[in-house]
Amino acid sequence: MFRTMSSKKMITLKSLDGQTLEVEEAVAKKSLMIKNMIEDDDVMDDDVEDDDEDHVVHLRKVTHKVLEKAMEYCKRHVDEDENKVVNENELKAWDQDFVVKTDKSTLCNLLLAAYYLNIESLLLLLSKNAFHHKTSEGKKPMEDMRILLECQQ
Amino acid sequence: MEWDSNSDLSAEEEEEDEEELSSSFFNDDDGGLGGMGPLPFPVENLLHTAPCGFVVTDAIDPDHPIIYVNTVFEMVTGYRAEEVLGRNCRFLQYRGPFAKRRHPLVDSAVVSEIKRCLEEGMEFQGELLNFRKDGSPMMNRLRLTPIYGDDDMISHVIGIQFFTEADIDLGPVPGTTIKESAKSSDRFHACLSAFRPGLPLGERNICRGVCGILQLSDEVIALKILSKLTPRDIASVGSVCRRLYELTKNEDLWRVVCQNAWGSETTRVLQAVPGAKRLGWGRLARELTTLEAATWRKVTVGGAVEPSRCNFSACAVGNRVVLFGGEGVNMQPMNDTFVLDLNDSNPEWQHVQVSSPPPGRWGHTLSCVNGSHLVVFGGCGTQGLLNDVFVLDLDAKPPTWREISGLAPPLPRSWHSSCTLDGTKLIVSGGCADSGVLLSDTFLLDLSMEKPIWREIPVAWKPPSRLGHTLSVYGGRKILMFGGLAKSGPLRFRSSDVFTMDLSEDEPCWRCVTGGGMPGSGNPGGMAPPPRLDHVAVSLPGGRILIFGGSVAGLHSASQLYLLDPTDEKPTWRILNVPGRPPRFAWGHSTCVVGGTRAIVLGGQTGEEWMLSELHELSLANSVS
Repeated sequence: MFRTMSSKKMITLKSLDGQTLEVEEAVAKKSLMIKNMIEDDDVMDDDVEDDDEDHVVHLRKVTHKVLEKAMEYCKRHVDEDENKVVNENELKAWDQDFVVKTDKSTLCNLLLAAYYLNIESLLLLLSKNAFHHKTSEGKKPMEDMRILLECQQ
Repeated sequence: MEWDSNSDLSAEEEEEDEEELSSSFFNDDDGGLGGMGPLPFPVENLLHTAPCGFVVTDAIDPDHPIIYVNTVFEMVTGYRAEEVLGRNCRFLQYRGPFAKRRHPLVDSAVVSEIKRCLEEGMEFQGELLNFRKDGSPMMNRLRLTPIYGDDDMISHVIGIQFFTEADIDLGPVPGTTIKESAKSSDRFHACLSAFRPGLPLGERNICRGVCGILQLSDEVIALKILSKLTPRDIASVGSVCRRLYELTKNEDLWRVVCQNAWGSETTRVLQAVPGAKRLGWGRLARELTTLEAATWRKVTVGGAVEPSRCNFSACAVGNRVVLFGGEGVNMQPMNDTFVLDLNDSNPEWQHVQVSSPPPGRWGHTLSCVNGSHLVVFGGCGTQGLLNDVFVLDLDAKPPTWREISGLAPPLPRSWHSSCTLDGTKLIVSGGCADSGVLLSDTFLLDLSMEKPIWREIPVAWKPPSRLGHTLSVYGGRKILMFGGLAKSGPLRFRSSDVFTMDLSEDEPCWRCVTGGGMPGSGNPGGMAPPPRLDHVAVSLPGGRILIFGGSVAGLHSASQLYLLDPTDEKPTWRILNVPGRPPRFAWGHSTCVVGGTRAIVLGGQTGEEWMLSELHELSLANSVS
């Protein structure tokens, strides 16, 4: 089913809106959900002929935009799993920058996607950011949090 | 979902329902089941009131074999119980009994979700494409609930299934003819007409239009998100909306939050407070974070520490205060041990008979190690300064002091500072060596090893040497040094400088947090405490340090409390105002922290430490009496 040998095997992810995204397998597997789907070789239908097609992972609950963001995070963090030397301070700074650059409307969806896709470290990063007790400057901090989480009072 | 209430229908229930349903069912014009010939199942089972499949699996067996299915399951799926018992439910994802693998139209993301929920012991709710025995498709709206056995392990999983039509064109089932498959879908449709659940499918599309984190279940929000936050964050989460308010009232959540935030060592100490006096975790976290309930109290105790002495050391083991050594009235070093059990309704000082006490001394340090042991280091004895190590096992019968001969000990000294890391490693720093020379070194002794070896922590730069300073542990493996009488050229000044070191780094180094590098240079940022030595430093859960007491420069009150959070980006001193009558004096060597929440000051009223019948207690959290 899968082509072997390549050290940078690519996986195609398909999102809710039908768009596809190609990522390295190691990066995609940071999502334990995707990892299970790839490694679970239970899927095969003898009637369908698609030997030449790369296996496509369908993620029917995530939009393309959010999936891209999630994979961007995974790509930056893939080195941790391979036990390569990691500069912690640099990584922390990148993480903060990543959160700041993500627009507010995507943050909540990204948090839910982090849960759904089972990317533990991203979920932790976003949770801590979303729920962080901020001493207010200007806007009421509760309002900020409510808008971010889109809760009604 | 109760085990008993959903087992196979009893005969009585069936009879009741028969009359209600029989008119609509058997008089159906399309013939219903009547036109298909006799079914392999008894007709009474069609009159099931709960239109759902019910499956129980054995969760101890790694493949979750089915141990029970109800008759609705048999009816709707077409598989009889004896065909499926002992198998995992995944066969429902195969199209027909001859298929060996899951059909590609089955959403593997949902399967992955199921697997994850089962692994994490959480409930699963979702929808999955399944197939009857004859290969016809149906949507299975599934709910899986783990059931816990006696030993808190998951023993079974209960699955509840609402089956509905699947609008999918699959073509012929392998191994059957076209005619047969068409017939079977009709039969399926007719079967289900009596069983329509009447519930709309939930909108679980996460990323469409207005979405909210609240669409996640309580369990997920609490377990995966809230439990990772700090106590302070959880406190503000409770104000966001009603649902989060309810979630943050959960004691178990608070216990996990406290453990994650404060570490297991601290929570273990807090948990050791006798049940009657323990607040819930939620309240404890709040009080230790806001310090809203901090008060000073005076406590009178009985018994006596005789002969009287000063310059002893006190340290707490659980709720017992232990006092060792000291300087007697003729300046002779003492070697006796006293215990004050604050758990008693009428606490009394008691002399402890020990077999071989360490040599007498004063100006030594006493620290808690391994939960219920105390370690003594250094001090000034009859023959001069000491650098030996003794450990007291207070719970041994009788309590016993044991010498630890650590290789390569540091220079003998007195009025140094010490602390315990991870409950096993003794750290000592600075102090006064022979001929009055001040020291600036830092040594570590790992008491968990068979043959402990002293190790100096090599650093490129050291803070000015000093005595009478404090070392406090915070954030797991970081230490904070404050104050003391520090060397400045040929002179010595009281200091209010703060230095920290992270011992988890490969090459730990001292960092100056506030204040200039040299003592006497003053502190920027916040209301800094006046410089002092032999003061009290209390480590609060979460990393903050509380400073008070000591020999203070100038005319400042020794009982004013100062708070510093070294984990802040820009640590700033804050004054803490606490009701109740504070002691006029408090010395570091004769003050100890009990149960993580109470600082007990001995001899604080008069400055004469041998007046030990009246103690001052700074309690940081309420105790429920």
